[in-house]
Amino acid sequence: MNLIKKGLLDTWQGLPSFGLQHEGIPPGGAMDTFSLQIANALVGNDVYDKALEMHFPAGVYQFEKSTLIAICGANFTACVDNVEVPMNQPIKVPPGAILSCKKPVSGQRVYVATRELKDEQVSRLKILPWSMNPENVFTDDPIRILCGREWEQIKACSQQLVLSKSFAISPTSNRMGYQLMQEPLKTLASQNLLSSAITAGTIQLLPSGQLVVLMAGHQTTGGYPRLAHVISADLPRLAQKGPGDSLRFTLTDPTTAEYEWILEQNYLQQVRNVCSLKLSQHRFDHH
Amino acid sequence: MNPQIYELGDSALTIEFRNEISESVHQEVMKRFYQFQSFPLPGTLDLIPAYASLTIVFDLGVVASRFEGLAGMKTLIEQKLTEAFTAAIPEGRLHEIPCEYNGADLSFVAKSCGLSEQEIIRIHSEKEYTVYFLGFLPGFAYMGTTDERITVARKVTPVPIKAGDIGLAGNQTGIYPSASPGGWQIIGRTSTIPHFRAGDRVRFIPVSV
Repeated sequence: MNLIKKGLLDTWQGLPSFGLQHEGIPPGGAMDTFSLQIANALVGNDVYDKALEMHFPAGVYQFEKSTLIAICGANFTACVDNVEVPMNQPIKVPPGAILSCKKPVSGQRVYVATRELKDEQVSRLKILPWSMNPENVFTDDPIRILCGREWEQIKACSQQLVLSKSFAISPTSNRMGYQLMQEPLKTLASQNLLSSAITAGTIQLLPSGQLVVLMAGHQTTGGYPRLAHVISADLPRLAQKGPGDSLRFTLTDPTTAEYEWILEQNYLQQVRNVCSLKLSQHRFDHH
Repeated sequence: MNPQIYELGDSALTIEFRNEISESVHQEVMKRFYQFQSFPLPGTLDLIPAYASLTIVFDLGVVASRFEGLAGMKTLIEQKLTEAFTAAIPEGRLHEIPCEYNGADLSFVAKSCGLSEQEIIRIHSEKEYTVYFLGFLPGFAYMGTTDERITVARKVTPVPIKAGDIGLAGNQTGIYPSASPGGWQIIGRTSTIPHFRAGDRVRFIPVSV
């Protein structure tokens, strides 16, 4: 894939890589790991393969070789050679084809998984006849959170505010974290704590009284009060929100968080199974 | 020392030993770091030591399906903490770091501490520091504790800082391993940035510019 025109922030991202946080190296990885995995499954990639994560305006790329691609996550009106192509569906593209994104419709980050077709020469664009439609994933339901270490230390009215108000995502939000805009909360007497580990989804109370949700590109440690944590299963949904969007929070419990995670992983495993079956049948029919 | 264990979201647990920066608390953190590194709990993805805590990040899938979730893990950790400690703790290495004390904030630090620049340099370089943990940036070592005479507040607004700059914040000192915005008061710089590990010792050697 050759870059023709750079996008706002195009990077190749995979699942987070853990194991080096004690060296200060954050796990990083894709913001929306759910869409990443659907995209990889659709083209028959390994679960650990990287896909192109793009924001709007997205980059323009040309394929060098015959490639199987899948576009998941945000709908930016993706086009191949200026013809709009479906999302969540495997697409064969010929060498020389150009991928571009015309107009943002929904979501913040698009994932393009690619796999070179080594034993096949594709002569024209071909959309394979199956799709994985992750329905009901990117809803506007409240983002589910668990209480953080300092949750009990804020006043009941502040807790009420967190759980009842709608928060706007600030334009300064990025892969490291989302700044949320609302009337400032009362800060704690012990606002600066001894630095300790933080994770993706940690909601910190800043000295300004505003909240920040740490996202995939977060640092490994921090010293601000941890009011709450977004559950892992809701992080992909949060990752598809961005500046201009608003969100609400609702409290949940660890058992629900674990159950929802298992459900999501089971769904992804089913998608992988179905996709690999479809792809092998297709290869069989093709030859 | 009776550690407290609390959930950090749905897939990590933090073991907090005592809420203070001290050598003895930190030694306990490192002891447990090496224990859980040598004999990892199932599903461990990361072990993150800090001043007074050790955080274990788990694979939620493993923990939720096989160990009754984080609650089950918490019980398991409580049990492990009572068991005899058997892992080997590597000796912290001593790093001697040549430092050119010509940082942009040296005169501000001297003024705000009511000392001369020479005194700041002498006080900063005569103490041996402990690397408590790495965080903030890849390879950024939080070292301390500095002499209370050179305690200085962070900048309110972070400014661009170069790789190799040596700064002060509160009773901590550290070297920026890469260029970054930062709020620490820069007193000097070095071209030698070793590969730090938590538990290492550090000495700054003044060199002339």
